[in-house]
Amino acid sequence: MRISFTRSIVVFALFFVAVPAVAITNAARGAILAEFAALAANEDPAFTRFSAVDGKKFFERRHVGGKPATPSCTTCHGASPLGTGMTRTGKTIAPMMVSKSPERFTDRKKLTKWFRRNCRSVLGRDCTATEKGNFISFMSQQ
Amino acid sequence: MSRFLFVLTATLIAISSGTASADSAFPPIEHDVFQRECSECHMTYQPQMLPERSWNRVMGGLDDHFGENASLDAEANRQILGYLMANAADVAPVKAARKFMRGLSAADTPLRISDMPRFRRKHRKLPSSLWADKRVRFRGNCNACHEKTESGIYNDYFVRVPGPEGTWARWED
Repeated sequence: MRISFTRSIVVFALFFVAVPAVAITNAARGAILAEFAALAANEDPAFTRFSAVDGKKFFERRHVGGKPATPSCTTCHGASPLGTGMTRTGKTIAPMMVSKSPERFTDRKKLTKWFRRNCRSVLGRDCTATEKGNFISFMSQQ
Repeated sequence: MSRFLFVLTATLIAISSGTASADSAFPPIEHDVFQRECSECHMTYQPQMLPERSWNRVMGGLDDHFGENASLDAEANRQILGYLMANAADVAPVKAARKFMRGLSAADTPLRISDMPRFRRKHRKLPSSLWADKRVRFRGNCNACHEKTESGIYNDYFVRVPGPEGTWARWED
C-alpha cells in the first residue's frame, strides 16, 4: 500500500488537537501515540482517531489464533488493568493503567518488544497500529 | 607442640570448610543485557548450567520459549548468546561448570537446566508435593528455595523448603 505522506502529516498534527480531555497526558507517550496515529492512517484510510472504548474491548477480549495458554491480555495482566498481573512463572506484573504506573508506554524500545511478544502470543499475529493506539488510549484514561 | 598442631589443624579445617562452598560457587553474572532481558519473568540463570549447544537451542527458539514468545531484537539476541556460549558448562574454566557437565551424554541437548543429570541427582530426594507447592510452581524457580542464587551459591546450607500451612523449613537430607 502506498504511503500517503501528506495524509500522515495531517493526522499526526490533528492528533495533538484531538487528544481526549480525559486522558492522562505525557510528552513521551503523546509522541508515541502520534506516531501510531500516523501509521494507523496508512494502514486504514478510514482511520480518524483512537478509541479507548475499543481499547478496553481489545484488552478484555478472548482472542483466537494465539497460543492456547494466553488467549487474552487479561490472562497475565489480570481482569482489571488497575490491578497487578502475574506471569506464568509467578512473577508480579505492575498495573497497565497509567494512573497506577505513570511510566507505562513512554519507552519505544520496551513497547516494541512487548507488543511484538504479547500480540504474537495472544493473537498469533502482530497488532495493527490502530489496535496499539486504542490500547494505549484506554490505559491512559483517568 | 601438640597444642600448636591441634590449633593448626583446627584452623585448616575451618578454612577449608569455609571455602568449600566458594569453590563450587558460580561466578558472578556480569552482563547487563543478559541480566536485564533474561530476568523479566524468571531469575537469571548462571550460564555455567547448560552446555553451549543448549544455549544455542534456547536462544534460537525464543518465539516459543516454554510456551511464551520471549523474542528479542537481533542485536540483543546476538550479545546474549555470545555471553552464554562463552560461559557455558562445557566452556567455562570453573569447577561449578565442570560439575554441571557430569553425566551429560554428548547426544543430549537439554532445553531445561532441570533436565541436566546433575540437577536431577541433586534434587532426587524431593517429594513431588514440594514442586506442586504454590511457592515453587516449577523446577526452574531455583530462588524459591535457594536463598543465595544471586551470589551463585546453591549448597545445602542456604536452602529452605516449603513446609505445611505456609511455613518454611531448613532442608534436612
